[in-house]
Amino acid sequence: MSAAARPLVEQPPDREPWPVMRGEHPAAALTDHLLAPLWRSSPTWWLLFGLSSLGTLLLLFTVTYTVARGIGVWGNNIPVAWAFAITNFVWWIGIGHAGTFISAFLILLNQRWRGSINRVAEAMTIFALVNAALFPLLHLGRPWFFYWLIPYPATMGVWPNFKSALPWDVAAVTTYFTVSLLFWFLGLVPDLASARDRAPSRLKRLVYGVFAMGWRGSGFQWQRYRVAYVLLAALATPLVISVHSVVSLDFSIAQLPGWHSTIFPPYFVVGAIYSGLAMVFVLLLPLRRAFGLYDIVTEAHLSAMAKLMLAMGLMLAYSYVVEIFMSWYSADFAEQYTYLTARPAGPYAIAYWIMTVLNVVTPQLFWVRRFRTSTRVLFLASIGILVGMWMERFIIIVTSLNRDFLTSSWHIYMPTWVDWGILAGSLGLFGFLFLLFVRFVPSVAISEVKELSIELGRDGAELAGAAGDA
Amino acid sequence: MTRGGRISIAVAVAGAVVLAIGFVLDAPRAAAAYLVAYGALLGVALGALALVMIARVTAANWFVALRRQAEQITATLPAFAVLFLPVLLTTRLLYVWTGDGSRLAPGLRDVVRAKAAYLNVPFFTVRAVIYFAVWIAVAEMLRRASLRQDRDPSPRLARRMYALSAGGLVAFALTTSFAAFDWFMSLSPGWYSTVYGVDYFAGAMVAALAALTVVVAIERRSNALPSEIGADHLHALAKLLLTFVLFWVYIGFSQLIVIWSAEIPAERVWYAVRMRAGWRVLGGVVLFGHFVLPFLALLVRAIKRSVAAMSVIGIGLLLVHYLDMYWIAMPDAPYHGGWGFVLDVAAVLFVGGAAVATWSMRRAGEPSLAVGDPRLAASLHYSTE
Repeated sequence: MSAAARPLVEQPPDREPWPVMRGEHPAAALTDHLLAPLWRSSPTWWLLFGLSSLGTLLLLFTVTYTVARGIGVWGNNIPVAWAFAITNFVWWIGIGHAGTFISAFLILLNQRWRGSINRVAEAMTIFALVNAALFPLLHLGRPWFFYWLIPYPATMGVWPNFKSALPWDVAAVTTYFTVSLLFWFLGLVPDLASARDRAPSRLKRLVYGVFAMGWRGSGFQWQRYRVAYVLLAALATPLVISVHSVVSLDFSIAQLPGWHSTIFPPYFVVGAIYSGLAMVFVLLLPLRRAFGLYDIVTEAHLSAMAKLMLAMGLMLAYSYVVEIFMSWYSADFAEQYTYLTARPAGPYAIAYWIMTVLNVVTPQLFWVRRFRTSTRVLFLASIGILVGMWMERFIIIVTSLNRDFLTSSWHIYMPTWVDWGILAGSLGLFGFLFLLFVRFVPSVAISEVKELSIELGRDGAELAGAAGDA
Repeated sequence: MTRGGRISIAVAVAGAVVLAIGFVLDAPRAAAAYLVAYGALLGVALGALALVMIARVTAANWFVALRRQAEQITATLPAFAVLFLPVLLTTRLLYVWTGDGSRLAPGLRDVVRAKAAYLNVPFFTVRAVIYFAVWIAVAEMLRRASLRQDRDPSPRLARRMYALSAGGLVAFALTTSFAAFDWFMSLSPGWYSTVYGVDYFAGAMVAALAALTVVVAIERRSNALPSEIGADHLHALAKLLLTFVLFWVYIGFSQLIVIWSAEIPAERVWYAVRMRAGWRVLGGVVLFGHFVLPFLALLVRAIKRSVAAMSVIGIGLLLVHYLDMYWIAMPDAPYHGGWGFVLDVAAVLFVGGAAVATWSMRRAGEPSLAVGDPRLAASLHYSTE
C-alpha cells in the first residue's frame, strides 16, 4: 500500500463494514496488554492445563503400552491395515496447514489483517505437526528403526523405496516442520525482545534475552528482517500445497477404489486448510475472550476467516460431487460399489453421513453475515467441521480397505480402547502445548499489531475493512 | 466497427471457407480441428469470467482498473454459444460413444453401454444448453450491473455484483467441469479422471490472464487507458499469471503421477497414446512452453513490469494453451496428420476471428474503465511496493 494512495471517499459497499482494529491504542499500552499473559496466570489456565496434562499422561500411557505390546493392541488388522493411526495422522497434519496458509499465503497477498491471528495459527501448526508425526512413527511397530526411512549411507545397503509415497511423506513433513518452525521463530524475535525488555525478573529477562538473539530493533535489523521474513514466506507457500498433496499420494497412487482418484492432491490440500481454519477458530475465540483481544481480533477477522472456510467447504463439496459422479461414470463395478453403496449404506454409513452433513452443510451458514461474526456459531461450526474432517479421513481409509475387490476378505474394523486413548491423548498433548505457548510466548504478533495501529492512525479510511484488501 | 473488428471478420470468413472445404473433403478431421480450436478459445472467455468473479469476491483493489477489459472478454460467451452449433452437429463424427457401438472395441462397448444414460446426444445437448445458459446469464448480469454502475455509483449495484459473483462461482465450477467432461474427456469414453475439470479450469485461467495481459498491452500502446495503469498493474497481473502457471502444472502433474503410479490399464491408455511418437514431442513442447519458460521468465521482476516482455509472454502462452488443448483432445479425436493441419489453422482463424469480432463489436462505445466503481481511485494508484 503506497503512501500515495488516496483515502477513499466512501466505504465501498462490497467491503465488510468493520475495522481491522478498534479504538486508538498507544504502542506502549498495546505491548503491555499483549505481554500481560506472560507475567501472570489465571485459575482457568491452571484448570485447563491440569486437564490437558491428564490427556498428555493418557497419551504417554497408551503409547508406552503400544510400543511395549506391539501394534496388535490396536484394532487394525489385514485387510484394514491402516485405521485410526493414519486417520489421526492425516487429520493432524491437515490442521497444521492453516498456520502457514494464514501466515505465508496472506502475507504474499498483502492481507494486513493476518497480523492479529497469524501467531496463534503458526503455533497451532507446529503443535499439530508434532502430533501428526507421532502416528506414522508408532505405526512402524518398531519405532526405534524410524531412521530406516531416511536415505543415509547405510552399510546394510538398505535404502528406502523411492517409488513409495511413504519416503516422500517423510521428506515433505520434515521439510514443512522445519520451515514452519523457522518461520514461527523468525516472526517471534521482535516480540521476544519486547518480552525481554519488560521481564519482571532476572531469570525471565535472561531466558527471553537468549531467544531474542540480540534483537535491538534498529532500522538496519528491521530492513534485513523484513526481507528474510518475506523470503521465508515465499518458501513456505509451496510447502502448504506440497505436503498434503504428498499425503494424498499415500492413498491415490494405490489401485484401491476410494483411494485411487486423480483429484486427491488438490482435494486433500483444500480439506487440510479447511480443518486448519476450523482449529484456528476453536483456539482463537476462547483466547480472544480470555485475553480481551476484542479490539485486535475484530469482526473483520472473524468474517474474513469464515469466508475462507466457506470457500474451502465449497471446494471440498465440489470434490465430493465429482468423485461420486465419476465413480458412476467409470462404469467400474468396484468404483461404483465403494462410492454408491459401501460408503452411504455400508457398515460405516453413520460416519459417512456425519461427514457429509458436517463438512458440506455446516459451512453454508457462512453465506449469512450474522453467522460469520457470531462467536457461538463460529465455535460450534468449527468443532463440527473438525469432527467432519476426521470422519472424512476415517471413511477414506477404512471403508476402502474393509471391503475391497475380494468379498471373502471383507472385514469389519473396530477401534480398541488403545485407539481411542491415543486419539484423546493426542488432543491432550495439543492442548498442553498450546497452553504452554499462550503462557510463555506472546500469542499475538505485537510488533505487527503496533505497526498496523500506527498505519491506521495515519490513513485509517484506507485500511478500514481491509478484510478484503489486496 | 473498428478496423480490428473488420479484419477479424475477414479472418473468420477466410477460416470458415477453408474449414467448409475441409468438411466436404474430410468431415471427421475438420470436426476435430474445430473442436480443439473451440475448446482452447472458449477457455479464454470462461477464464475471464472466473477472474471477474474471483476478483469481486476477494475485493481485489488492483483489479478494478482492469475489470472492464476482463468483462469485455466475457462478452464473447454468447458468440461461443452460437459457435458450439458445429460441435453439436458433428457429435457423430467426434464422439465414438454416439451410434450403436459398432465403432468400438468389444471391451469398450460394454463400458460405453453402461454410461448410455449420460453419454447420449439428447442429454448431451440439454447439458450444453444449461452450461451456456448459466455462463451467459452470469456474465451478462455482471456486465450489465458494471456498465450501469458507470452512471449510477450506488452501493446497491456493487452489492449485487458481489452476490452474483459468489453464487456464480459455485455454478461456474460445476458447469465448467461438466462441460470439460462432456466435450473433451468423453472423446475417450472409457477413460475418466476426477481432476479433469480442474485441469481444464487451470488452463483456462492461464489463457484468460494471458489474453488480458495482451489486451492491456495493446490498449496501453494506443493510449486507450489512463497513464496510471502501468507497470504496477502489469506486475500484479504477471504475479497472478505465475500463480496459475504453477497451478496448471501442479494439477497436470497430480493427474499424471496418480495414473502413472497405479498403472490401471483403463487409465494409463490415455497417457500411453500421448507419450508416444509425435504426441510425446508435442507434450514436451507444451510442458516447456506452458510451464518451464513462463515460470522462469515470470520470476524476473523487470519482465513482470515490462509491457513488451509481458506481451510476448501473453501471446506465447495463448499459443501454447492451444497446443495444450491439442495434446489433450486431438489424440482421441478423428485425427490424422498431413494436410489436416491446414484445417487446424483454419478452425483457429474462424473461431478466433469470430470471437475477436464479437469482442470488438460489443465493447465499442463502452468506457474502458469502471468509472463508477468507488474503488477506482485506489485501484489506479495501486502499487506493488
